[in-house]
Amino acid sequence: MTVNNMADPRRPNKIFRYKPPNTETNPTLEDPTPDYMNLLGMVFSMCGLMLKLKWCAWIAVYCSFISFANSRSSEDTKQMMSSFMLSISAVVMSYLQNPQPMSPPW
Amino acid sequence: GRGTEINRGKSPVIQDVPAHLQNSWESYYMEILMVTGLLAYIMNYIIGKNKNSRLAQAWFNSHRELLESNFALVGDDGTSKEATSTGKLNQENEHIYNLWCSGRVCCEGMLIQLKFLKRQDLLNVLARMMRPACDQVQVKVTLNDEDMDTFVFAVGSRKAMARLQKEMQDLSEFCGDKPKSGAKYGVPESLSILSEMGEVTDGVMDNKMVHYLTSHADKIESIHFSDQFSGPKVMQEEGQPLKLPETKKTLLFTFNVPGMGNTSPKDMDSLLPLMNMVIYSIDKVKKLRLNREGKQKADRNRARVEENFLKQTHTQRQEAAQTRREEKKRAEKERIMNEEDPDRQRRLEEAAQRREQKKLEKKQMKMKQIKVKAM
Repeated sequence: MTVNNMADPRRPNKIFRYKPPNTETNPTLEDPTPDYMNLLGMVFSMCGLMLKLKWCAWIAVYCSFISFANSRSSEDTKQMMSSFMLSISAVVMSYLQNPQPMSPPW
Repeated sequence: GRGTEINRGKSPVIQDVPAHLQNSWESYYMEILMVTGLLAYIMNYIIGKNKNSRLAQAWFNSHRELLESNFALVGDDGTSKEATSTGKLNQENEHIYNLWCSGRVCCEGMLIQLKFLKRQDLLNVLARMMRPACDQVQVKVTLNDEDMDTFVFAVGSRKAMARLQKEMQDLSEFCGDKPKSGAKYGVPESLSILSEMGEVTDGVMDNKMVHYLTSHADKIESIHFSDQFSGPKVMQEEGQPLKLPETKKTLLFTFNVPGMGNTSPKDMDSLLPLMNMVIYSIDKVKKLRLNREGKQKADRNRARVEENFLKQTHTQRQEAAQTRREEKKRAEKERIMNEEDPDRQRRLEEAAQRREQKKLEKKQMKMKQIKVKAM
């Protein structure tokens, strides 16, 4: 029985392993959105807590959600959870200190 | 009592009760709006990520047979000890999936990236209502040295060619002429060609290739064959020692998924002929060899690019060498100063002085020789 090697292009002896692309050498490959949103979320959380601004705290919650939606699978969930918790606590603290509803900007 | 005395005769005044004392939900309408927005975001996240996941799976199901009949390894995440096919896509995040295939003649391996739209991010969904975009499939085939001759070539949509000519290191260096209209080679006018030399274009654009390009022109964003591929131009930082970027023989295909975002899983089948084109290209590039004249031209081009690079970085490399020399001298001087034994110190100083003197004499000799030669 002859095996027609010409027809089968597969070569098990020519296998190379997958190497994830090195994002240090080419930073344009990485999407900066989750990192920016994370940072923005923390900044708004701190503003909301310190300056007792409710809308800051709400924006912080949105930022942490957006950061989560855009994050890479390899990223640490601890970081995500901590920014999320921070923004939720900013909202809660704002309402505990001042239970009045938010006034619209108009 | 006193209260009733004061209020006698005055009609009751209706005061507004402050909002937080009102026990109605209506006053919290901003908060309700916020929470509703968050719920909408979460709903969109779940729906969007599921859609992307289904599209990825549909793509893989329709391409699996072709890939498994061409590659010994289909699917690898690089972490397992043994090189066995995982038979599934790697998920990078909720909108990017990749697949690594290897173990075939004529190439090292093929990395396929399914770059879907960020359907899981409501902000992105809203942004796309104003600026429509489409899902993309990017295929990068890396080749061994013997799998490809030396040439640089690209074909794709006019916009993509204009952009890549500016952005890509190799296309800007080797394909300096304006992109040529595809109509000259029998493909639709919407496609343009960048090529290192005419022989390359004639070699690549055979009947089968022209047929593929014509039938699927709407789905082709760019096709880039290069032995000098190093990716986009990198901005060099100040003070960094400059080296020629590392190159790898590569075939890079970028395809647009039809539907402009309104894609359904069965649209993935329409991409299968494009994967056939990729496989055909791999085998074709292996056989495509420049004739003697073409090879000489190609070698000259590569030598020219390298020379230009060396010239540009000449001053920088000289400066770097100068700073290195000064550093060495300073380090030596410090060593001499730190030497505690005064005798040894004197001896080291004298040795350094003698070395300096010798260097000076050598230089003077050289200058004399040059002067004599010039005369």
